[in-house]
Amino acid sequence: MASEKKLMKGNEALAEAAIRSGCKCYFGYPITPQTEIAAYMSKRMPKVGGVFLQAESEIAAINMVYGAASSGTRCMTSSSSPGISLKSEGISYLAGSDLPCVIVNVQRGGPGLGGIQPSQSDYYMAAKAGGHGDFHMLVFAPSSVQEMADMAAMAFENADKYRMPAMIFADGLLGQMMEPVEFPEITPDAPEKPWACTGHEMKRKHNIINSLYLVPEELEKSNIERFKRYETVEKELCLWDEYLCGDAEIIVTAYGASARIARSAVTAARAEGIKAGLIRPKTLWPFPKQAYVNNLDTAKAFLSVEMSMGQMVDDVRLAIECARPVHFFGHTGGVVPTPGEVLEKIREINAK
Amino acid sequence: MITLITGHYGSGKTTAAANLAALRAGTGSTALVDMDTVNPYFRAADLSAFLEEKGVKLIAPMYAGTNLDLPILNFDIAAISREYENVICDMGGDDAGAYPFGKFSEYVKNCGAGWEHLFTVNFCRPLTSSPEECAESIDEIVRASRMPVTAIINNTNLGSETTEEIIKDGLEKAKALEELTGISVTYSTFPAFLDVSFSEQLVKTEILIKNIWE
Repeated sequence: MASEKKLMKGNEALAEAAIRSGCKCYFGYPITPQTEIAAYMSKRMPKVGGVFLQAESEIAAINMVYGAASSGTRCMTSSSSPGISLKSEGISYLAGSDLPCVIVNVQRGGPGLGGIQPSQSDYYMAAKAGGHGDFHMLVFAPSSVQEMADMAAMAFENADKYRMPAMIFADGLLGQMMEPVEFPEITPDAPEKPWACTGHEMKRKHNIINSLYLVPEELEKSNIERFKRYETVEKELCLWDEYLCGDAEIIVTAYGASARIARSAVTAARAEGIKAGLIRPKTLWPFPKQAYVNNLDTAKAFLSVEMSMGQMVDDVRLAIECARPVHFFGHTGGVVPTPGEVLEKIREINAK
Repeated sequence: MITLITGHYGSGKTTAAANLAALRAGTGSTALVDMDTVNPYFRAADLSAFLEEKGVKLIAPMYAGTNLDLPILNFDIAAISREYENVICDMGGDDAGAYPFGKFSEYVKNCGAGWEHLFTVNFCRPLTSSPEECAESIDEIVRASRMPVTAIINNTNLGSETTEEIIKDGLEKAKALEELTGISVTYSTFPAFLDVSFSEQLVKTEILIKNIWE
């Protein structure tokens, strides 16, 4: 009996895992480099009794998510950077209405129409400002095709648990590359959703899904309540991986595809006798601040490696309250850093 | 000889096309034509260094690999086939990727250069993991390309985790696909890092598409 593993693209693995996690509605619109998600959903959804719908625009798709989520249905949309900008109004409405859903961003170079090659320059948009108003969404940062699948399941589960939108935050490399992947037995047991609009049949008070408040004090109250829930999330859901951090003096930190590159560089630095380690955040909101604080005993400096002009680097500085120098190395616009370049930067910091 | 290479997304068409082109370059002038209009990532145009080393002429859309990577083919198979003895056309995935060949099918069938249509399959890929699903995919691609499939390349692998067992399982499924469709499997591949010797039908394949951290 051969392995049950399949060789899949990140986009395909994510789509398949979403279906196995009980995603019943997918609303999409094509854009490189995430179109395989829509293509896969269009083939598979009709076979599993789900809904695949190619919307007329990204904005229509996110508002269809609003509708499906209001009924308590597990639902998803996906796009790439410029398309996520278009969805941001809808994301804010979803957050303001406490609706669980999954939004996928397979990032490409920006700003503007930018390019089609991989990028991580939407960090601020995902982790800080997914739309207008006071809110957060869960942000999962997969680093392999396997994690594209695993985090799809986590995103649905935690979106339901905390009643908030969850984003799977990938990039063109992760979406397009192929790796072996296996799907764990997922039991798609969405929790009871007594708030959902499913028809009251004159048996209960009707539910209202809404983000409009006519009285400022009521809006403030709802925001404060939501932020209390965020405090719980920050306590319960910070996820990260550490690699060779025990005695590390230079802590490299990166998420997603950049973490794969940084890991190769850390391994090479160790081979040269440089005490390097890697912290890889798996959630970007909540940001795993504790991971950085935990390593302050040995760490002399930090280095954030990103496919951007430097965005997550700010959160590293905040996490350690600038107790150590935090350096940055990156490429942007669709250019991918190489392990050799990162190693050179590690050597430079080590020589200081 | 004009060779058309098609298959499901990610079945290994580009790797198969590049390896085949490198092999044929020893027998006469050879061109590899990048006709992927579906996906701008991981395409034959990315392999220019390997192809140049092997003496294969790469013909690709002028904007391949840039942010202007548009689904256009600014060349003509007729002109290419008059210039090169071996013309290998690497198509995009699925029926969607095979469509552009339809335009050339009448010429290719009648030009006298000879032709073949190789369908690439990897049974470790989703949506083509059974012989039945592959047969369905072949039907779709034949309709889209207007070219009957003449042979199958069995490229079953699980990337870096390919084992002898996976190769054996692929050979069995390829045999079943052969029986189901009546189309013969011309050869089966195995990755160069694997040491297998149990079948004469196996051809060693150089894996050309790698991630930056490897």
